[in-house]
Amino acid sequence: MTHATDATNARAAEDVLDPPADTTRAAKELAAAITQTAEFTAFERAFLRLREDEGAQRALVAFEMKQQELQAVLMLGAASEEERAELERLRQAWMDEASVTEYLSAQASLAALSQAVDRHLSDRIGLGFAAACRPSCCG
Amino acid sequence: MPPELLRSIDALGDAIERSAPLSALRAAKTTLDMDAQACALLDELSTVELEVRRWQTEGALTKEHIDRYRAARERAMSHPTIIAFARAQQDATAFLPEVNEVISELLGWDFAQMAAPAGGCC
Repeated sequence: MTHATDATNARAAEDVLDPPADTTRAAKELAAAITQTAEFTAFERAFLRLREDEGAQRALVAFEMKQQELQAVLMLGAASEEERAELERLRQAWMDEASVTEYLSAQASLAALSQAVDRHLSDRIGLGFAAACRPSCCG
Repeated sequence: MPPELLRSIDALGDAIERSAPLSALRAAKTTLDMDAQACALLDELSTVELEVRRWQTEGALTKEHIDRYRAARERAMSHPTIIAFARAQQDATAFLPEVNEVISELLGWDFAQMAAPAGGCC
């Protein structure tokens, strides 16, 4: 028996006897495969662009500051039409920034890919993978 | 989907299936399927559940219906084969977040959260 065959047999035995290690290895390989997709690359690029876009950051700060300022009246349902319109204008101004649009689009594509991966994996194992990982609200 | 990604999903699916919690779940399911009494209790519970939903929709749900449902549920949930299957199912489901952690750690974001369809559980 060659060393290579010994190693293969040892790995096969380990796979049977130590499934968590086997599963961890396969989970890491899946994560690595996801990082090689166009969706992941586009998301990373969009994330970095958004992080470095000062205009988008300023628009976000302006929106969040107004949101905080109006938090109490919004919760009480007592915000005026003008206050609501101003908040919506700031939200829209942030959403209209090119880097934000690109980021949200890349995030949606990555979410679609993740959902497809989850469907395939869930079909394979006969259990809803992502659904099982969500915190339950039913106690 | 890229072939390399499909191969990785299949490999992880195979590894999860070989894991102790999923093997135990398969064994518990086989035992359940072979237990005629347990299957009859689950069929009964399923029928009563459907009836209760129908009555609820029609606004005709009574205490008697709810008591009937509770009794069917109690009968099913106290059967040893069903208890064993429910435990195996819980263990298998509890194992999956550990796998998700490994994936998410390498990606830098929560894979399951990104993949989970919108909407609440109840």
